[in-house]
Amino acid sequence: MKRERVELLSPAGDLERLKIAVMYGADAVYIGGKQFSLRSRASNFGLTEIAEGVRFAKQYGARIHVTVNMLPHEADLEGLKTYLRELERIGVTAVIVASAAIMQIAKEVAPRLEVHVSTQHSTTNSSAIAYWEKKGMDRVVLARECSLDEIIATTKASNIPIEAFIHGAMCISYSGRCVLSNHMTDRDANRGGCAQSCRWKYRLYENGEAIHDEADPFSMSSKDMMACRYIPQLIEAGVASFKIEGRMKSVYYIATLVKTYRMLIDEYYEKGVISEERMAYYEKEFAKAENRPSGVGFYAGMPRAAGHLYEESRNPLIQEFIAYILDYDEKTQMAYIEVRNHFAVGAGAEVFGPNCLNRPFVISDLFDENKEALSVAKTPMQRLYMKIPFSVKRHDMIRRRRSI
Amino acid sequence: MSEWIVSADRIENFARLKEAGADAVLIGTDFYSARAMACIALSDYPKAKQEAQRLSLKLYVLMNRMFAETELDAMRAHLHLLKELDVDGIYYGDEGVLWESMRLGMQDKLIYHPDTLLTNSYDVNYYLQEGIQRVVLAKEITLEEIKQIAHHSIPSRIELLVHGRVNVMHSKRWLLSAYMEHLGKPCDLHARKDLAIIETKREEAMPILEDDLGTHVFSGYTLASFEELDELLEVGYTHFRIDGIFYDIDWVCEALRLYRSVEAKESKGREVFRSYAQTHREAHVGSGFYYKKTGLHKG
Repeated sequence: MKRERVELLSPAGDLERLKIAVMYGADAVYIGGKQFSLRSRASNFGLTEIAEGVRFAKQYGARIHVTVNMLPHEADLEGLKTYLRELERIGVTAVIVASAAIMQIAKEVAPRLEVHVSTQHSTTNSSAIAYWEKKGMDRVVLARECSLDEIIATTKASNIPIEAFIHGAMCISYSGRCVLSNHMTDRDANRGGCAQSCRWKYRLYENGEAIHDEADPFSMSSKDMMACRYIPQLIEAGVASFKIEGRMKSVYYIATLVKTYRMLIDEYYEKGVISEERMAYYEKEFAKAENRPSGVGFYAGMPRAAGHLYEESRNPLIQEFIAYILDYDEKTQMAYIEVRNHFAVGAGAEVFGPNCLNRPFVISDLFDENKEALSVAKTPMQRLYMKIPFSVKRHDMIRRRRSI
Repeated sequence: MSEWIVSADRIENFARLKEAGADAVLIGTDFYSARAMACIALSDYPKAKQEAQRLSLKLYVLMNRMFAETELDAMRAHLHLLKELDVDGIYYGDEGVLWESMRLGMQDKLIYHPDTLLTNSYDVNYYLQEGIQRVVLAKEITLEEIKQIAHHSIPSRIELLVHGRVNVMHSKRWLLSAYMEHLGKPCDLHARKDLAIIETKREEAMPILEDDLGTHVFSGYTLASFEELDELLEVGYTHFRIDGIFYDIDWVCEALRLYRSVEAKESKGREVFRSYAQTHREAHVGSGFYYKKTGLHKG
C-alpha cells in the first residue's frame, strides 16, 4: 500500500506561532480553542483567530487541528455542539479529543471533522485502536509510554492512522492518569490547570525515616523527549503523523524544531537514509531549542535515572534566541529587529529562516529607534536596527552562535 | 439494594469480609492488576471462585493494567480464563480490554475503572451504552457533581470508591529505582508499601509504591464517606467500594461494619466520621474532593 508522506504536526499557542509553524514547514498545526481545551494558558484562539489560522494554513497546503481535550465535569459542556459545528464550518481539519462522549458528539454534529483520540487515553496497543476504529474515529495519538518496537508493532497491526510524539516535554505519568495537581493545588490537571507538581522537590521516607539526599531530593521530572534518531524507522513503520509537544513554547522553539524536522524528513524521503554525520548535525540543531535536557523518552525502553531530572539539572539552559527580524533594507543592509534575549555587539550570531540556513555573522552595528548607537541589547521586545551583511527576510530569526 | 465491594488480601479472609457485610470481593494478581490490596496467584483463582460462591459473594477481579502491543496475547488469554471461571466482574482501564471482551461477547462483565477519567454523566452514559456492567467515577469531583451525575445517568450502574487511599498518579516508570540509581545507592525500594513522599514545602505524606507496573502515588489522606452515604443512597447510588491497599483486613472489616451501620440508620454518618477520624489519626481521614472544587487556577 502506498502511503502518503508522514505529517509534521506542530503546536502553536497563538496566531503568530501558528503562522511561523506553517511558514517554517509544518504540514499541520494543532491549537487550543478558548473552550474545552487543556493547557488553558496556551489556549488563545477564539473562533475568529482559528478561522484566520485555517485561511493562512490553506495558502501553504497545511491543516489545522484543534484540541478539545479536557475531561469535562458535569457543568462544562454547554455550547459544545455549537462550537464543534463552528469548527467544522470554518474548515478545521480535525479535533483532538479525550472524552469518549465528546468524540461521539463530534461525529454526530460535525461529521466532516476528523476526530483524533487524544494521548490522554494512553493508547498503547492495537486492540484499543481497533476499538476506536470501530467507533468511527479517524486517528489515534499513541501514549508516550510506547517504545520504538511497540510503536512499530502497533502501527503495523492497526488500520487507522497513528500519530506519535517525537519531541517535547513529557508527563511523568500516563497522560491523564495524574491528579497530583488537583490534590496539591486544587488545580484540575485534566481541565487545563496542571501545576506540574510532579516536577517539584520531594522528601522520601521509608517507614518514617528520611532516605533522600537533602541536597538532591526526589523528584518526578522527566527529561524532554527528542526522538529524531528514530524518524527513519517511524517513517518506514507507516506512522502517519509526527507530533511536536509544546503549545506553551516560544516562537523560536517552534521555528527551530519545525524547520529542522522538515529538513530531516525531506532528506530521508529524498535519500532514503540519514548518515551519522547528518544526524549529528540535526541533533545539534534541535539542541538549540532545548528548554531542558533531553532524552529519548520510552523510545529505547524504560527510562532509567538518566531519563530524569534531579537537582543538578534544574538550572535553566542558555537562551539562544536573540532577536526576531521584522524587516530588512537591502540598500543599507540594516535589519529592523525585535529583541528577545540579551546580547552584545561583537557576539557571534547566525540567521535562520524558512529559506535561510544558519548564515553566520558577527554583530557589529546596533542602533535604537532614534539612531543612537548601542553596545548591548538588554530589553526584551525592544525594537532596534542591526547591520546584517547579507539579505534576510521578515520572519527570519537571529540566534547566538556557540563557539565551536 | 446496595452492594458493598471490598478489596481482599487472601481467599481465607473472604468469610470474614462476608461476615462484616461484604457483597463482593475484589482480588488482584501479578502482572494484570494495578494497585491491588494483595496479589493472589492465578492458579488459586478457581479456589477463589469456589469460596466466593460458597459464601454467596460476588467475585470481581482487577485487570487494570495498560497493555503494550506485545502483551496482547496475555490479555486475551486472561480474558478467556476469566470467562471460563465465570467471574462476576472485571475492572479495566485500557480500551483494548473492552475491544477484546466485545469480541468474546463478555463486555457485560466489564467495569470501567480509569481512575481519573470519568468525571461527567456524558462519558458515563457513553460507556454504559457500550454494554458494560458498570463504571467507576473519578474521585476528583465534588459531592454536588456526583449527585448531578446520578440525575443524568443510571446511578445503579456506577460505582463509587468511598473509602481508602486514592490513587493520585500512575507512571509506567520506576521512579524510586531511578532516583536510587541517580544517588548511587544500592537500595531496593521495589514493591514496598512503607514508603512516602512529602513535597519540600508541605506536610502531607503521600504513600508511594513502585512495582512491576510502574510507580503509583496515593493521596496523603484516607478518604471516608460516612457522612455522605445517605445522600449518595438517596440519589440512587448502589455500588460502594472500600479499598484496603496499605491497610489490613481488620481495617477493611471495621470500615465496612461502620458503613453498614450508617446505611441501616443505626448510627449517624457525621458522628461515625468524627469518631473514625479520631481513632485513626495516623490515616489522616478526609473528605477528598466532596467539598473541594478544582479549577484552572490556584484556589
